[in-house]
Amino acid sequence: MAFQVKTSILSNSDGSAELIIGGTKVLVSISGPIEPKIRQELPNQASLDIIIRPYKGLSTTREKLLEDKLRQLLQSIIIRYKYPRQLIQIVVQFLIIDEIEEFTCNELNAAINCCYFALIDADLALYSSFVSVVACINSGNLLLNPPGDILINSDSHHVICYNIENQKANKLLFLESDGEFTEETLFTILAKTVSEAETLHQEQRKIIQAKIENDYIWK
Amino acid sequence: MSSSLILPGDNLEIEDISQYKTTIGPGIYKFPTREPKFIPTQPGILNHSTQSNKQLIYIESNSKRYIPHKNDLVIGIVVGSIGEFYKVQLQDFSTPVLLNFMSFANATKKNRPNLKNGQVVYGKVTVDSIEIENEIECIDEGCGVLDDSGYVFNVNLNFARELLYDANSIFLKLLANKCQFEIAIGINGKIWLKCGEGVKKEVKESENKEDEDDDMDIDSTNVKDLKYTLAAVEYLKKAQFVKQDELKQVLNVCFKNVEN
Repeated sequence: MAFQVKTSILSNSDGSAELIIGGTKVLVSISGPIEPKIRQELPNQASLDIIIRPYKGLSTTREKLLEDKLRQLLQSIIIRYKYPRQLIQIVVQFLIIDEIEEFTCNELNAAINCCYFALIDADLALYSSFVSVVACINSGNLLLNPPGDILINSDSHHVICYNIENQKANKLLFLESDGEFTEETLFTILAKTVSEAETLHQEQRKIIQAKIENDYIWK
Repeated sequence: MSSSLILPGDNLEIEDISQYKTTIGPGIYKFPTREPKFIPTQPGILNHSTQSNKQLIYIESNSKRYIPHKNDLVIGIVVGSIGEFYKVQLQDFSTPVLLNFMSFANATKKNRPNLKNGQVVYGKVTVDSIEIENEIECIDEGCGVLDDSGYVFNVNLNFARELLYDANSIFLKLLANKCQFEIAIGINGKIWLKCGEGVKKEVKESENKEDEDDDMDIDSTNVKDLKYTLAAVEYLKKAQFVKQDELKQVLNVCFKNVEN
């Protein structure tokens, strides 16, 4: 499953990326570190302001839930102690989605992967790289990156995010599962998605390599 | 180039830090633990040099948001004052830095420059601690208030560094073939540029009536300088996104309408 990524597409934000993965298209913009409002300011680390906008309509509790999940992940990956009393504002705008409202996994997966490229573009300090994979169990078979119509009939689905250290999947940063499954199935899924995460990371490297060459095009 | 690409989380291949005196620059983070450990935190090109028992590591990468560092030359806009200090904005939405009333060449309590909001200063960062408010000063030669007839615009931070630090950089040399200009480059991605007399304010009405022939001349040179300034700005903005062999073409396109 390939990414299609464009970085630095919003000229007024500090970092931005647009990502197409499967049937989901998402745009992330990052401003930061910038001056926070007094109520957002934290004395010893940067505060995160995450805003998720749905592909149509206004944001609801569903988007708030996604915001919380994304914050949970990003606050452990950004070196926030490097930017005390500053604000990092992350806006995620979905453009095309491929799942019904009851599901969030494809969107969450796309948002996480797109945030990585936007953070790279904004040049914010990260503890490590990360990559996210979405998988579902459909009548006993493991399927990666399920399209929306298969997702409806699946028994369970999982969003798995690994941190990448030294080009290997190292730690499990984030795991979000829904549906009926046993502990054993979950462990099998984790075992099988590691290699997928590592191939995706190689793709991330290629994309970033191209991005950096483009940044220094005038050299 | 590919060999030295480094991403957050990659292994930092450096000499043993217990034996080498290590200096770290941008893109490297030192864990605040008893056992010092360095990790790369930003994507970019790793620069690593060793000399007898010293080593220097940093990562070169592009960004748009400026974080103040000591001795950086920056361009800022005065946005207010608190107590003894002016508040100077180095970038939109960034936390303002402070500029002491006394931090000007030859400033005394009685004789100090009176800056208004919106005026542009060229200064050097003196306090860059992330824990407290940052400070700049305008004491060095060349620093101080930049006059209103220049044009201030933004470029990417890596491009600003290239222009300021690389004396043999081709960009300004090419521009010098087309016009005379005065330039101040801030590491914070702001550039102040002025061709000839620059962008002059409107001549006052009373002066206008005194000698009309003279004013006609001033107006035409003024318009010409303004056109050259804008063309030079356009050229520098575009130069960030093209290869060096296309640079001359870009320069000619930008100055096409001006020279006739």
